[in-house]
Amino acid sequence: MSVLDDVLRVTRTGATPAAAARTLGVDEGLVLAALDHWERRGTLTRPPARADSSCSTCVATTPDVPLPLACTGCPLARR
Amino acid sequence: MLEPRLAGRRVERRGADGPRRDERRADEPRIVLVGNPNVGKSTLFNALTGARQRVVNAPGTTVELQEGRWRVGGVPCRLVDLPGTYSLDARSPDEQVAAQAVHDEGTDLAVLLVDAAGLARSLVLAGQVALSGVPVVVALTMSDVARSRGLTVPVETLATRLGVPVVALDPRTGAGLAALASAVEQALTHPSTLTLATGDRPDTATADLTVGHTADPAVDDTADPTVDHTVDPAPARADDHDLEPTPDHAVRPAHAGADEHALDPAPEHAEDHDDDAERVFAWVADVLRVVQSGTPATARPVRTWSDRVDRVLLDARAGIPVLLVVMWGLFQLATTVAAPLMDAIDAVVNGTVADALRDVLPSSGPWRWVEGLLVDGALAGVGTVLSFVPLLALVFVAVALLEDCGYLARAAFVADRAMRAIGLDGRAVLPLVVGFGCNLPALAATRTLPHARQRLLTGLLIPFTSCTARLTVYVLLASVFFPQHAGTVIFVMYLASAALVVLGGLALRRTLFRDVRREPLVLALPAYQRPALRPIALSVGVRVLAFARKAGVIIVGTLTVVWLLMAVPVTGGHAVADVPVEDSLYGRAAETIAPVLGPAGFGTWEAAAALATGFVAKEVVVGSLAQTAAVAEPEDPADPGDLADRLRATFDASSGGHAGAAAAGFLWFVLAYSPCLATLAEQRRLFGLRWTLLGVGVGLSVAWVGAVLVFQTGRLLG
Ligand SMILES: Nc1nc2c(ncn2[C@@H]2O[C@H](COP(=O)(O)OP(=O)(O)OP(=O)(O)O)[C@@H](O)[C@H]2O)c(=O)[nH]1
Ligand SMILES: [Mg+2]
Repeated sequence: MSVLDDVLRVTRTGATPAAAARTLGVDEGLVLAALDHWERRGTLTRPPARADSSCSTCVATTPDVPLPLACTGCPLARR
Repeated sequence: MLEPRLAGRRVERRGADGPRRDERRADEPRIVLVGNPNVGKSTLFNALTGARQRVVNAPGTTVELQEGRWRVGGVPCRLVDLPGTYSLDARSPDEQVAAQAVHDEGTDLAVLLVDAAGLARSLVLAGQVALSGVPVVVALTMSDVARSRGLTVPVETLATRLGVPVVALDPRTGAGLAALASAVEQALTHPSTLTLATGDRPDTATADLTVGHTADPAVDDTADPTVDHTVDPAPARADDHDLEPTPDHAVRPAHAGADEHALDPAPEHAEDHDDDAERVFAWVADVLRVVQSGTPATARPVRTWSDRVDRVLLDARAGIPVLLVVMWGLFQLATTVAAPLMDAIDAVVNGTVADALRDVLPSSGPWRWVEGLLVDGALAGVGTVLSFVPLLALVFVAVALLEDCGYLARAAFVADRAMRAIGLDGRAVLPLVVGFGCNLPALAATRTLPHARQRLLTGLLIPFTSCTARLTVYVLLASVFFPQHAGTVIFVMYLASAALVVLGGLALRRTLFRDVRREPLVLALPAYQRPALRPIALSVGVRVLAFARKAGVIIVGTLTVVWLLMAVPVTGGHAVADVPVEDSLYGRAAETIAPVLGPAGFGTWEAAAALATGFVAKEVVVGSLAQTAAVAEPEDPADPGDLADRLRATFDASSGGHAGAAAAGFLWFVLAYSPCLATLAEQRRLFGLRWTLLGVGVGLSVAWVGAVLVFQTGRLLG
């Protein structure tokens, strides 16, 4: 098993990067890099870690943020 | 010359770089600064070039680069400050520019900045740079930060493992810059490339110090030509790539557009890539083992509180119940806390403001009609919708808190596992979660799914996710018909929504979408963190304002149209604008539909009209109910009464005394019947008219059948 596969396997069970690093006995930075790799491969996704006002409702567009593509045409989002 | 041999590989980039190339003198070496974000590239760049710099666009892009002159041992060099990146497998234009510059044969040397405090991620990039074969000098920054964390990076050992010169420096103070200059001067004449050799004797690695830059003999890669980087000086780049004619890891990032990437996360040559990636990661792990051998081992697994919490939250059996309890608590709290605030707003708008308006407007002739439009029409509707602002604000805050501290990601994780357990694709979870906010961006989020059929399947399910607009209807009816259990009723609506998604998904998978394959997707959980309150407050404020303002516009618009339709007489020989609603165009039309809803217990023109306006936007349903209630008993204008009483009376009459059951059926109908117009338009754009109509048809059928079942069952149970 390579580091990359190990990280994927442990992450799949619900480990945070820190927990994965402890379980595998590797550097947390290496785990983050591996997650980044799998994300680029399309095998992994990270749910948004911070609340993002632009996406959860279509009325949420702030004036200084350009209208998300998804909201074009939405009467609620029109400015 | 190298040029002809490289032409095939680098022709595209050369073409793009052409004009700039003419500007510089042919003998002026080009040096690029490469590294992770925030390692100090720009600081170093400024320290090295001083005022001799300018901003240029990277060839063929809008990405801006700093370019400057740096004299190395009397030789003027062109120094380029590249955007920070974690990977040469580029996803953004910035990263693409960095990757391109590293692979550019016009690049004579890369100064690779390595973060001593973030060694692993820096080394992964280093490994990718090694594959490109560009000559490298490593600049080790952030040693002070590393030291403050009790880490020291042994420069000599690192240099030996990497096979290139390593200079520790602090670009802020200028310490180490002279050493860097002489290392670079040396490297321009005697270039060395990074070594991707993994030693199987990491504990004896210090002995390798004597081996020098050509490093580790313990390489098991005779079959792989690219590994020859390890020993060869720079010109070997050309040879390597001659030996490597087929899909080239080095070229792809430069050619694959960022968009293409997003749509196709599983590129054809993924396997070649993964071989390289595995080598890089194995190498990094190996280097880390050696250079960190002095630091105290933390490999002993310790259970942190975060692990313990996750053990419960992610547990295969407890996970879903915990999620349900959290959601239930959320709605319980929101409805309880918001109720008095909502009443207060309603009292102000529909009481004080309405009375004031009535007093101001003359009450004769046509003015009566205007007063009706303003007070009973627009104000009644808008006031009711406005009264939901406190509730929505609370729900937004609660969800933002959950999201910010990391729980929402865990909820998605648990939901994903449940979905996979019943044979659905976990990839759909994130778009569906977005759908609970608003269906429209959720449709856009399906774009992250790799296959068109998956996107379509998820896109058809999204209307079943209960958006916040529908929440307004739940709250109104729940507080009128089930005042003791409003929170629970709302919670059940969300459960029903989840059940609809799951059952709908299963049904579609078994019928129209048997061809859709399941693909594994891993959700990576973030660490728990303290919610950032200020951004949450700001974002909630913005959302609430936007809801009030924009929903207001739509509601006023729709309700005005409704009011006008109410003014058009069709039966009874009334004058325009002086029509009992039942005789108006609006009332007639609604009454025509109403009997269809009879079996569900709400076969009244009021309910039919409210549901019809809900096609435009679900917020309008509440406004429409309030509006029709306000005009239902014009004979008693002195006591406009209470929306709740009127709703109770209407549902009571239509259901033969089973108002609660009828209201439950109505709630189900609102949940299932059709998304708003904007969502339908987007569905049509993404999937075409046929699928959209199919979706609406299925939604209406599910809504009607479900509502009838709910009402009839409720009636039987009393
Ligand atoms: N403590 C410490 N801080 C450093 C060191 N080198 C740079 N910095 C600081 O790190 C911060 C980021 O430096 P930049 O030069 O902007 O980093 P960069 O690599 O250009 O970042 P990007 O362009 O975003 O990729 C600045 O505040 C620097 O002052 C160092 O060796 N030690
Ligand atoms: Mg910079």
